[in-house]
This record gives sequence, C-alpha cells and structure tokens, in this order.
Amino acid sequence: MSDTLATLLDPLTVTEVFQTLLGVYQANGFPVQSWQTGGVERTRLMAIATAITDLSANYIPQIAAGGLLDYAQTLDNPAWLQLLASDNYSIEFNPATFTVGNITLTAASGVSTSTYTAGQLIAVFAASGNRYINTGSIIVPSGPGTVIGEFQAEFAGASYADPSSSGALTLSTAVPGVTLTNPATDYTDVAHVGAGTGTLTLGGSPVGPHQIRITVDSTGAVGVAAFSYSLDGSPDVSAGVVSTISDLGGTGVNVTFVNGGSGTSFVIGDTYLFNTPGSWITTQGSDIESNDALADRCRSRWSSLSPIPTSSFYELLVSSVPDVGSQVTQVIVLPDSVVNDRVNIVVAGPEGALPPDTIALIQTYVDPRVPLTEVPLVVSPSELAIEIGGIVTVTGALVTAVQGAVETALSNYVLGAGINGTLRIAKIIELIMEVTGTVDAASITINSASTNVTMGSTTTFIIAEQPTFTLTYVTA
Amino acid sequence: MASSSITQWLQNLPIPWLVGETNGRADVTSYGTVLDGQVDLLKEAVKARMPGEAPSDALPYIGNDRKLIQGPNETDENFTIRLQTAWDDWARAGTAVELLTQLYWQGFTGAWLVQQNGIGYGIDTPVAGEDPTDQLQTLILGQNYNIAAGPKVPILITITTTGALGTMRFTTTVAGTTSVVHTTDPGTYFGWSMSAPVPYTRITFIENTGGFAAGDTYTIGVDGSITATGTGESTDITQSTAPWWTFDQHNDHCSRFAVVFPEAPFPSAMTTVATAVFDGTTGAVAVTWNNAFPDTTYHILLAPATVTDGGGPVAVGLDGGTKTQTGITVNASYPFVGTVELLAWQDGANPFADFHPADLARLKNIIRTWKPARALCVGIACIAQGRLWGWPVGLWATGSTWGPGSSVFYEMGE
Repeated sequence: MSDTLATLLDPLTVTEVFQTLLGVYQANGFPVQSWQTGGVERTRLMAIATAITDLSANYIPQIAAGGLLDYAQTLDNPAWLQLLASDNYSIEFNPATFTVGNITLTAASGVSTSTYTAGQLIAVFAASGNRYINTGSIIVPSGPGTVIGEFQAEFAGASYADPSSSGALTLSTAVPGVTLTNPATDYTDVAHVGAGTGTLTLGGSPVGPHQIRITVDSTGAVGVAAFSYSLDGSPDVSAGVVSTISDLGGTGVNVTFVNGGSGTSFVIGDTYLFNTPGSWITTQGSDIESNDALADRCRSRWSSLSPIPTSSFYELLVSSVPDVGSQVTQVIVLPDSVVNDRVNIVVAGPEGALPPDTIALIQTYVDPRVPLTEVPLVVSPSELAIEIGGIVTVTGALVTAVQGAVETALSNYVLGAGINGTLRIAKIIELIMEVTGTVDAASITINSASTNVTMGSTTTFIIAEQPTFTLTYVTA
Repeated sequence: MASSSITQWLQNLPIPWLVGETNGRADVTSYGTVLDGQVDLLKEAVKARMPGEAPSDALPYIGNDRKLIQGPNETDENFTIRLQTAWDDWARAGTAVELLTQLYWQGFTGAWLVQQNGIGYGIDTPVAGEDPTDQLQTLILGQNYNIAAGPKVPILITITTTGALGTMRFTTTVAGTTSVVHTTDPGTYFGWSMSAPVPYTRITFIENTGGFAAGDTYTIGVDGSITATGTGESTDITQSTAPWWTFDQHNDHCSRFAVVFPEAPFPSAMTTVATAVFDGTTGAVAVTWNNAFPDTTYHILLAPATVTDGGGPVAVGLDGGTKTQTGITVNASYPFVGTVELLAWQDGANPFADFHPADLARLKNIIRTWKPARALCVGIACIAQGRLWGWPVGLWATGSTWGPGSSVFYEMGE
C-alpha cells in the first residue's frame, strides 16, 4: 500500500501534476531543462496537467471519502452519503417535512359566508415572515362567526415553528372583515398508543407547561381499569381504579376516563399522551436529515444484526420512523431505574420537546420491533425555562449589532445543550466575548444564579427552552 | 488483446506517426505513465473503504463506520480481521461474551461481569475473527451470600440524622473506632461496603414506613444477626440475604450487572508504571508512563535501583522539573547499568487500581455500546488487594478469612 488515506483525500494541484509530468518526461529522455516557459512543450504539458488535475482533484478524494461515513458526511454533495446509506446500509435519508397547524378565522359582523378551496388562503406571520397555506376547503361563516382551518407551511423545514397567539397574523390577500388568530388550547390532542377504545376527556385549569402520560395498569372499563400517570417524564404514580383524576400531580389538570362504544375500553399497557398548554401546531416540520444524523443512523444499523437490542438499536428505530424520524434529533437511551426491563427512550427535536402525536407515532413504531418482555417507553424531556442575565459592556456604536449576535449565539448554545445537558457560565461568557464589539461580560447568571445548570439526572429528563434574556448592555 | 495499462494502450495504437518513432513513443509513454498513476490512485481510493485493502490510516475510519474501536495496543492486522468480521461481532451485541470480548480488545483484560441474578461471566483469550462463545466461563455467584458467616467482629451502626434514605446519616463503629458520618442515596445504591478492619461486608438499608431515627442503633453480630434499638424499629437493616449479588434496592431485578476486575494481572490501563533503563552512559533517564495523566498532580513511587553491571549501590531520585502528564526524568547518583521501576497514581486514588479519566471513559463507552439497552451497569469494581464480599466465589463460612483488602468502585453514572 503506497498511498495513505490522507494522500488520497488531499487533491493534487496543477503545479504538482505538472512537476510530475516534467520528471517523467525527463526520465524518458526529453530535454525538459531546455523547454522555455511559454514554449510549446511546457504549454502542452500544462494542458495535460490541468486535465489530469481535474480528475485528480475532483474524483479521487471524493471516491475515497465517499466510501467512509466520517468523510462522506463532510462532502459538499450529500448524494455521496445518501448513496452510501442506501446501498451499504439500506437506509434512506429522511426528507424534510412540513409544519401543520390550526388557525382560527373570525368573520366580523356583516361578512357573508364564503368558501375557500385548498391553497386559496395564505396566512402570514409578521414576526417571522413564515407563510402557511390552507390544506382543505374552508367555509368562513357569516359574521359574526369563526371557523378553524388547517394550514400547512409553504415550505418544509423546522424553521416553521411560530408561537401560539403570535399576533400580527394576516392573510396575504386580505379578505375584508376576516381576521386570523392562532390560539393555543389548554391541551394538545390526546395521542393514544394501544388497542383500547376508551378515551380521555380533559378539563380543569392547568397551571404551567406539563407533559403527561397516562398508562393503563389493568384492563377493563371505567371502574375496573387501573391507571397510573407520569408527569413531565417522572416515574409513574399509581392512581388505582379511578374514573377521574382531579388536579393531577397538583397541576390543575383534570382527567376523566370515558368508555369506548365497543370492545375493551382500556387495555393494560396502553398509553395516552398529552401536553398542556396545547399549541396551534399539530405537526412540527423538520429539516432534511442532516449528514451527521444520517451517518449516525448508518452506524447504528449494525446493532440491528443482534437479537438483543442495544442503545444504538433504539437510536436507529426512533430516527427511522416514517414521516417523523427526521424530527428526532436527540436521543438518550437509559434503562429504567425502577421498572425491570423498561427502557426509557428520551427523544427531542431541534426545537425541544416533540408533540404528543409524534411521540405516539414513535412509540407505535418501536413497540412491535423489540423482543418479548422488553418494555421500551418513548418519552419527551421536560422543558426548563432559561433566563440569562448579566451586564455586557460594548463598544459604543455596536450595541444593537452586539445584542443581536450575543442572543443568537446564546440561543444556539442553550438549545444545543440537549437532553440533560449542562449550561455553563464560563461558556456563556466565552460566547459573549467572542462577539465583535464586546468589551466585557460581568455578573452573568442563569436563572438568577451565577452557577452552572445541569439539567436532568439518571431518572429525570430535561431540555432547555428557547432562552430569554435580561442582559443589560452598557457602552464602554 | 486488452491493454493492461493506458501506457501500453497508447504504445500499441496503430498510428505510426504518433507512436511509431522514438520521440512519439517516449511522449505517450510519459503522459501514459502519469495517467496510469492516476488510475492507480483511483483504485486506491476505492480500496480505502475495504479493511483488507485499505491503508492503515483508513482503519480507524472504517472502524468508526462499523462502531468498532482499535485497542490502544492492538495491531493493524488484528483490527483488520475484526473489521472484516464486524457482522459476527454485532450479531452477538448485548451478550456477555461479546461485551467481554470488546473489553479484551481495548486492553481491559481479566474482567468479569457479575449479574444481579447470581451469574458471573468471564472469558479467556479471544481470537480475532473467531467466535469467542466457547471461551465464555460462567460462575454461580449466589453461594457467596451465606449470611450465617457474618463479619469477623460486630459492627455497630448508629443513626445520626433522622430521615428517609437520602436524608438519613449514620456512623459505624468497629473495634471501638467510629467512622465519619456516611450519607445514603435512595436513587442508586444504598448497599454500602465496610472497609478495614472488617473489610467488605455489604450492608443494605431498607426503608419501611417508620423511617430512620437519630440515636437508633443496629448491631450486626458475628453470626449475622441484627439487633436494633431505639424508635426506628419499623425500619430495618440487613446484610445481603438474597442469594444474589445485589447492587441496589431493586434486588428483584435481574437486569443489573457490574464489571469486576478481581485479581492480577490487571489491565495495563489500571496501573500506571514505567521502567527507567540506565545503560551506563548517563545518570538521567526520561521515562514515559504507560497511561498518560490528565494533569501533573499525580504521585510517584520510586523503587530502589536494580544494578546489573556489578557496580555499587546507586541513589536514584526524580527530577520534579521534568514532570509532565506523560512522564518524568529519573536521576541517578552516577551512570550505571540497570533499571528503576516506577509506580504512579492520581491524587487520592488507589495506586494499584487507578483508571485515568480517558481510559475510564473508554471503558464506559465500550460497556454502554455493547450491553443490552435494558441492562443497567452499576459500575466497575477493581479488587486491588484482598477480597470483596461476593468475590472470590466460595462460602465464607468454610474457612474464609477477612484479611486486609482494598477495592475501588467506579459508578457507571447512568
């Protein structure tokens, strides 16, 4: 083996090839020393060198890199990695998906009813500029009246994550007397995993954001079936045989169990998932699977050879769920500390916790693909509000620019900390100081304390929310 | 006939004016040679992904593709075979034998997996490319828990802080000496090992409804009996009565296991040593540790010089100014022929059972990668001296003695 991988990956330059050609010609008896610059022979060799370099520089490094995940994922052309994944690992990349949500259209008094076909209405969020298009026919009633319509993001991607009750939401082509809002309901829809026909009715006055999972502990109708609940990913709490749960875990959430019309209402092992508050978004869009994520899935593919699931097998499963796999950008797999043979699979997306519907889809995909008696439980991490405070000293004319750059850098840092990550004061100071125009960063705090914040533990799973800032900017 | 190279193809072209004469032939031979060189590079580029054909600097990347890591002292030839047989290794993922095999390739030899259902697994010497299953050794560990044996002398446990596990604090008194105040952790392990002079009996606190009350005492007799006093009678303390290894309060779970390094020879990563070889030409020899340290706060023990040239005694010492994370210089009173053995360990660590952070991280990574997802590895135990309750296998009542011992436990942290 005469060449190293490093050599193969390093493209030759025209000059190097030209020098090689001169050497070979000299070895074959040509008087290359007497060939003049600009002369026919040197010009001809330079032309040959250029043609060879085109081959050498463009193809040899890519062929070498294209066969190795570590390098294929760094190539500008993602097709190399996608081909490698498809042909060697039987894994197709996850395409980008669209955000879908519900928008309320309110007709003022005097507005007459109108029907709008799919694609006819475009809602625009002023803050982000994001546009959403109605997916089906919407009949706006005579005013005063309201109707809820489903809208899909104009383009696929995770950036379509506009907040609920955003305000400044309009139609691109205004309809006189019709206004738009995107309120959050108290709860998300209840996502159900399992065969039972029973349902939940949610009520009460929920306080604060929470993720709730109800598990059926024994089969039967209301009055026979037993339930337990998990609040924000914490271990299950038995509620016993009940027909309602009031003020669940002190959150103000009330749950009423309702029998199904036929069949077994509540089946042991079934789970019901919902969050509070709800969101106008029913399906969060995602970006095209990144090269890093695709390469990781390829590596995890090896674990599927074994009948015994390892952590990477679960990582492979949750990121391969049709339609929603690309939403999973973070995974932690941990054996449960209390329940034997239970494996907690904590998943999150680029914007944090995933909607209950997505969690339910992942759970439904994973369940039939694991060995008997193994109990995988797909859970979302709890979300922790993060507020960063302190004093940033800035060169006079750059306050606005520095503020924007600092908040972008810190937001990326906080969201990038991941599930059960650690937020460090020193890193925050470093990121602030890296921004051009910053002179000093002092009294930096995370949630009002000047200490690092470690989220979660081996039994709790936490991820940071988009941070808020109470940074004071002063000029030097 | 097909040409074997571009050069040959050019030379054989039936175009006399181009290749028939001396200069023309030399011309096509020249640029044909360079083009052939490019073709060779193209072939090498394709082969770079093939373990048996790839250059050695490609092996780590092929390994990363296959989630296999070359051991610190593993040869390229051995690793190449493992890469070629990755399909077989991964088909055994999650089994005890494969976890032990992967530990072996990383240099963590001599490991045993002890499982919370009373079975222990070890392995001899795996061979790359061969199924190691036949080399798996098993032990039934349950018989170790013969509670009738008890400790050699009574142990008095005194509750110092009232509360549930996690809040409660306690001391132990052995042979008239009272320990510092110990804490308990309800989330992980509240089994707790005694140290010398009554080495390694394992005591488990069981929280019942009454909680633990300050001032309560529990005396564990030499016969294994437990006598409680005070108001906390509704709580209890027990030595490990289950016929299993027990790692935590969930002793009905079979999914807990630990990695134990029970006896020498220990993995190289566990003990940091070096040998200064003096050849008679110099009085100062720089040594390199077999394991690099994360900083320079470590300690060093220097053995007397072994003089092999028949010379007189030599005084040796360390040149503190040369201390680095990877080595130090040993100074001798004069040049001699012989060796000086050195032992080094991190501050606060056991000199004979001291994994450095990088090696410990590598060890944990292998465990996490190859264990079943549902199995909880509670940690890594290194028995540097003596014995641990439960190891070696045997009935404590049948003549075993409680000699001095020393062990180190690294929690897995998951």
